[in-house]
Amino acid sequence: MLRAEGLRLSFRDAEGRGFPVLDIATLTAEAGALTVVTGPSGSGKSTLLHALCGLQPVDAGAIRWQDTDIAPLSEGARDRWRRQTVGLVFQEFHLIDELSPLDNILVPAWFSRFRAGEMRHRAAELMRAYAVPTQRRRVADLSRGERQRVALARALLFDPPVILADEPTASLDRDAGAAVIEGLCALARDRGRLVLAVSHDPGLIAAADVVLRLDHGRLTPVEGIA
Amino acid sequence: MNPFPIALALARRNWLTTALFLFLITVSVALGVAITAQERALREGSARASDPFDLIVAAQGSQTEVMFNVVYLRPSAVELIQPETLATLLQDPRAEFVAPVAFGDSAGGFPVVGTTADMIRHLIGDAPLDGRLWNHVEEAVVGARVPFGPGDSVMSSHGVHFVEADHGEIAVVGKLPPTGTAWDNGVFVPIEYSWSTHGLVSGHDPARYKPDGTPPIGPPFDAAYLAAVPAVVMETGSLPAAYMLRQAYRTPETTAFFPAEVLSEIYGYLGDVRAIMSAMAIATQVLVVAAILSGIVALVQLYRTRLAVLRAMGATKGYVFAVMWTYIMALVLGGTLLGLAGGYGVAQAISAVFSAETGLTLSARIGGRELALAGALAGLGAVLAVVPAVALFRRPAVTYLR
Repeated sequence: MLRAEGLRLSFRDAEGRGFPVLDIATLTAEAGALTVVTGPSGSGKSTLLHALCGLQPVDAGAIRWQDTDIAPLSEGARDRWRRQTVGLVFQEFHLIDELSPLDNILVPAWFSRFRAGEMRHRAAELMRAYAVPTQRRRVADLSRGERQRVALARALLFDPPVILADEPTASLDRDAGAAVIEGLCALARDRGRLVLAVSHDPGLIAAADVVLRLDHGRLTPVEGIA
Repeated sequence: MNPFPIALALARRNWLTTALFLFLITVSVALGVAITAQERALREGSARASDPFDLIVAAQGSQTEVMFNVVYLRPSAVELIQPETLATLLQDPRAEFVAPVAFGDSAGGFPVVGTTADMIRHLIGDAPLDGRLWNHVEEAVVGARVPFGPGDSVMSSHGVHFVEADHGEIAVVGKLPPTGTAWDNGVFVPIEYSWSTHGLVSGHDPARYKPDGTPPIGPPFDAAYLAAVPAVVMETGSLPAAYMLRQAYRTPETTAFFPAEVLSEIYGYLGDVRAIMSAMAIATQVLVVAAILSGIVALVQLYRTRLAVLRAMGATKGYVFAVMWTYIMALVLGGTLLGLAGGYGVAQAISAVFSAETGLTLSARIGGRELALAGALAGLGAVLAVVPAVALFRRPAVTYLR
């Protein structure tokens, strides 16, 4: 279970005045469920995601994963925690165009080791599981849907218990989006992973187990399907 | 960690910029290396070319001019040693041999030098001669780079830069082995030839001429039949003897010097020029590296989202730093190595042209100075490569994900 309590974060505008971005009393996301945070643009969805994975330091509050509160950890410790625990998927995929699909999936392996080694088998397995074309030399040659599946495979290289997705379907057409939604649902329900996505894609919201609504940095549960 | 695949992807993304950076570093290093390597080759080659000439005695005047005449066969009008003085010089028992040298003629575009067989034998040492040395006044031997050989006949003419009059054919009877000196470009005749074709005495009493009416060749000469010469070369045998003779012939009529003293004076000037050129080459390199770094700082701003994504996926700052540092160092090291090779190639090419021109064998090589230059640049690059990373880390990675 990933649980945020008393999370507060302010940014400063150009004149140096602070304005609140997040003010969340409690947020819980369970393993085995697909949680979707929705809300209008500028409601702080992406910032929330960055805070939950430790990229964005917060002003106050706790972010607990199992027994660890990652909020007070050092930047290096949060990097390490994120590498071991979280797989991230972005709206714009953020793949490295010059690398092959396989190498893109292997990128996180190079953060800590020189040779990908046995990780290659894992990456090849993920490519099969997410139907990533293996013949293509560069990801730039793939369709958008295929690229998002590469990004998903990359997020899963270390088989992390937490998958965080930032608008994973927003730049995809309906069919490609459906394939990604199916992949995320399977991760949560079949593999027991904690999957949290921020999105305003009705398709993804409809598939969610829990939908939370973020408005001006505040969270309101809208419905529970589970 | 393994930053190489990401650094390589970075290079491939902007391959044109990367290639341009590499080219700039290569050219700047090559420039510096070529200048210093060439300057050293010139110094070493010119010093080696003066080795066969122990002590040069000439009439009072410019030692530099005489040295260029004798050592590098670059004829110019110099004062002459008068016959009476020459007679004294030739009879000096302290020298192993005293060889008069005379210039002013040319054959087939190559300078003709009148001298004695002693000088030629001393020049080539133990190396074998193709053919034989002269034993007749109209015979010649040629240097290794002269395109004639034994059996050829060549027209000897008055004047070196401009032919003024033809003297007549001379027969080439021998070809010298390469010596790496300017004398490889010379045509050598007995001093008797130089004197007699100019309507002077031949150095020998006509009473002792050969039955065919030509003078005998080589010493001993007859003091009464000597003509003036621009210089004599003395083989002194030992260093004390060399200093003693140099002292002895520093007289109101003559000057005596070791080519090395004149050369070191010239190198002194050359050294100043080298210092200026080296400084300019180093400044160029520093500017190139600085320009490239500012280019990379700009490039990193384009890559910042990509680098922030690496952070988001769990890469440490150290890893992102390693990616950029590897990329920059690959440029600097690659450019430095290519520049060393390129500079070596350029210096070799210049040396080859210079050798063909002068006969001096110049061997440009990469020495400590060039490696130090390249090493200093690589070291500077390694330190300055930190700058783009610092520029990037000024703001948290998450800023670039929004």
